[in-house]
Amino acid sequence: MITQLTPEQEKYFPIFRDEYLRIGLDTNRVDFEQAKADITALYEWGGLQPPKQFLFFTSPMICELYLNLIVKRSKLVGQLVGQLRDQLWDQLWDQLGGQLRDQLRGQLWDQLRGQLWDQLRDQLVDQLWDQLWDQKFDYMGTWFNGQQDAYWVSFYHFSEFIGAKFGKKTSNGLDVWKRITRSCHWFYPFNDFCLISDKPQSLSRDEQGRLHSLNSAALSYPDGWSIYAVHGVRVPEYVVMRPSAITVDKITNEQNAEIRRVMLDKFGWDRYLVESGAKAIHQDNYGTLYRAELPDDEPLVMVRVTNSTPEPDGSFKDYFLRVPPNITRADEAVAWTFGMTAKEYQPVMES
Amino acid sequence: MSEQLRQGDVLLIPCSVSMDGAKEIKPRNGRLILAEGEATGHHHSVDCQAAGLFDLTGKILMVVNEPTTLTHQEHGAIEVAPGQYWVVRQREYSPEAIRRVMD
Repeated sequence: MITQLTPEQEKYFPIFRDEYLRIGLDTNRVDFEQAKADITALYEWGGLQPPKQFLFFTSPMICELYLNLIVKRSKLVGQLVGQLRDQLWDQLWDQLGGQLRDQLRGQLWDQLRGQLWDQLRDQLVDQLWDQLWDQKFDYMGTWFNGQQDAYWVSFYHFSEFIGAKFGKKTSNGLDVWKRITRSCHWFYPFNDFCLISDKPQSLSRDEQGRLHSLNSAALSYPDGWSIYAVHGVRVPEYVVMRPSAITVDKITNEQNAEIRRVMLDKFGWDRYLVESGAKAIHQDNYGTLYRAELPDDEPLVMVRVTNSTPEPDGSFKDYFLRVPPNITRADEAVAWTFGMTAKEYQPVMES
Repeated sequence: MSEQLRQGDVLLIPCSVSMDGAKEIKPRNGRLILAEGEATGHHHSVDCQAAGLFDLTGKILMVVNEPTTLTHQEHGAIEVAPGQYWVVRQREYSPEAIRRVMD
């Protein structure tokens, strides 16, 4: 029974985790021959004949396209996928989990499971790949995600490193998967053939690990198939690449509130308020309060105020400040921006 | 009693508070910087000979000992009478995160 990490293992742990994160995010090209060899080893591990044919595609999308156009006509596909999933994956999971349970004490299990499995899964699967698919696409998906399987592989790999013992077959299976996480991206194993996708060629994320890029695709494959995303919110390409094409109508008609917020950030909330013809709901000496309703989102309420100091040309510049949607008066709005009530806010001198 | 003064996005609110636990904020080149523009490098400042600036449990307190002038590169100067003032920076509302509906 392993109850805790040695100081050396503690020290090595973050390095190990980072290495697996790096593997999971790797954007180098897949070496087709290497991928073939590692997947062949997986079939052999599962007691299956290796497929007669390996097909290499430039992205998971093209794999899906191939399956939709060519293979789905055969009704066997679902059945075949189920079968191989059981032989190539489920069995190993059961064995690894079952055997490790007796060797890692609860607390250490929780710690490693939380910090490797859960955290890497969050980074590699939840933040990235769950957003890959357009609902419009009749997509099959695969249980075999190569580099993204790094989350569970890393958990068992580290457990093995600190002394957990697996049976020979289980341990061999884990070794195969260690190689697959390094050599493969998504693959689709069938009895007679196997589709292999290349890895992404670019991948950019924000500090929280969400897909994010303000001036390029957040994720792209060598064939040009790409995803545009801002802080994890998937958006149409033009929102990122041609923000000047964003219009009031497009914003107003966008049904998804998260996407609408990204569009508004690019377009300018104040500009939207003005150009959408939002109603002024209150006006006084402090400013003018506007309100616009946004479907499935908080109403946009902003107060327009005027700079007290003139511009060099003698004009006075206006600007907008967003305030909470429950505010109904301009004085209340301006007071709120300084953390006060309308009654408390009584500036005598302003510049 | 002194009065509320506003220069751009900074409001001075007269107050009368105990200085217990106040941490002094050091001047820069003889100026006390009340607030600094994020992009422009412009700032609201006063002469450190006339006033002191403190961090009091996370809020900014200015203690003016003799009449002084609050200046900023883009706003008119404002005369500040002796006394204690809270230095409040204007804020903007940002909406709550949208809760993703699981489908």
